[in-house]
Amino acid sequence: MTAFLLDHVNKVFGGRRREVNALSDLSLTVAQNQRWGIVGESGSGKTTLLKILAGLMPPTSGRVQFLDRDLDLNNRATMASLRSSVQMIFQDPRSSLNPRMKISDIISEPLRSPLLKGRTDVPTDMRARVDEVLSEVGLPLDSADRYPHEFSGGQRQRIALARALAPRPKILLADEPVSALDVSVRAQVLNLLNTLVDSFELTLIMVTHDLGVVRHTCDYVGVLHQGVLVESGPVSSVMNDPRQGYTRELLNAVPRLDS
Amino acid sequence: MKKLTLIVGLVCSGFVVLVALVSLVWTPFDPTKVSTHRYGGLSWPHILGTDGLGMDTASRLMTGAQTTLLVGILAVGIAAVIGVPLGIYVGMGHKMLGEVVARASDILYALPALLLAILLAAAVGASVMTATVAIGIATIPIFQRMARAATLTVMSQDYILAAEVAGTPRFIIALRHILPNIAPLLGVQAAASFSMAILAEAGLAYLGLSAPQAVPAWGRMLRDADIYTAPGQAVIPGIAIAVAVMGFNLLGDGVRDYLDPRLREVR
Repeated sequence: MTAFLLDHVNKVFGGRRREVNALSDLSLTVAQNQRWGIVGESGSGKTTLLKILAGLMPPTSGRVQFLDRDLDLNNRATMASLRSSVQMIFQDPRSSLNPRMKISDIISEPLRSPLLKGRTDVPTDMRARVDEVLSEVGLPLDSADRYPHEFSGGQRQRIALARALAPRPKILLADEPVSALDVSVRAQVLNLLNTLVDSFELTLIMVTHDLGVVRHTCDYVGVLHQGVLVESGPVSSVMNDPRQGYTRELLNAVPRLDS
Repeated sequence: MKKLTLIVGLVCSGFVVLVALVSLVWTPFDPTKVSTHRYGGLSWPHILGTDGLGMDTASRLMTGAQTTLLVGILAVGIAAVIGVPLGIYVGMGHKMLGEVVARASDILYALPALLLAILLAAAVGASVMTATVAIGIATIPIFQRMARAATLTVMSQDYILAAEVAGTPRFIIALRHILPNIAPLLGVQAAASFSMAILAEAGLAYLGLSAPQAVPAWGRMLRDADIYTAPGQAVIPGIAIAVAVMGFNLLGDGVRDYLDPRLREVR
């Protein structure tokens, strides 16, 4: 089964003359349990791609499938299945957690969605599920009754991870999950992400501009440049034997200690 | 210095509320009882004198505090209940409707409360209620604009996207994520609009577009005072209005200053 299938997807922003092609003719197949890293500079369409995958906006043209069903934002049954099986974590955990909500309410929000009512694959005992995911991301259980500002950046990203895991998703989307964090905690959060993806057999699609993160976490990589997927394939082959000039440029831009 | 604003505001507005509460159970005289003791000076038992119909000024002043608070609460209530949901709705998207609402807001904003009050008074007769409704309607654009601007700020936060990914319906997003995060700003605006409403009602009452003579209301007392024979009768409600307006204004400022650092942190 494929996790995501994109077939000639285009996304155009704006109208009348000032059109911007955020994504051009993008085709990509992500099989289940693969870990994809989508790299590219800012403005390359990475975040647009994630938003389309997350069902936050429709593509202008082209076909998107998740878990072998067509992604139709107006179909309630499809959206229910998307919301239960696809979750997302964001770049800046200061912005992705509502400062006026308790951690338990933040984490249980996906479980409380009316879309997921009556689904058997979604946990129903919220309090128990909150405790469960809190321990899975390595936070103390008494965090549940506290507020986001009482936590550090790394801890907040753990909370965001806990929220994403709450409905037992099959696919995890990540938008630069560690780039807003202190360098000292990046590795911790990245390792946690790896462990969780392993133990819950998740499919991971991570957008980043950090090739080091891709090398550390992903086994497949796609290179986006101005909305075009210029190269994709297994991390080892793309990174060791880049075929496109742009990929080579990106690789050479990584600062090295030995040079 | 910042704390002083809050304290003075609390004391003044608290005093008005206290007087209004006391007047519910006790006033020295019946505030609407006419007597032959007209334009009495400051003397026992009429400690603040009597007006042109011989009604006790102290009692009318106390009961007038009720009217004042009612005007403020109702006018701000009308403006907030209509303006805030509209502002949030428009701020969450809907470009076409947003333009319509913005233009309607501009038109309403250009229409003074005075004109609305005259229209309403002409249609159904002048009363405290017509004046209050007119002020409330005229205040809607202020709340609508503020709610819209604050909503736009909140909408740019990732927790809104997170809520959408979590499958939370838009209506719940408005209640759960937007309203609590714009509430402090709206509270400050409510206090400021409260004092503006009090002042506006007093002005309308002075023009005869609000309370009739029998109703104890500060603006009306101002109108009924004869500045040649008993100038003190105009000064007394004037001071009351000033205290109430200043009190709620300072309260709003004080709360804003108090919340400011936290607002900055939230942003």
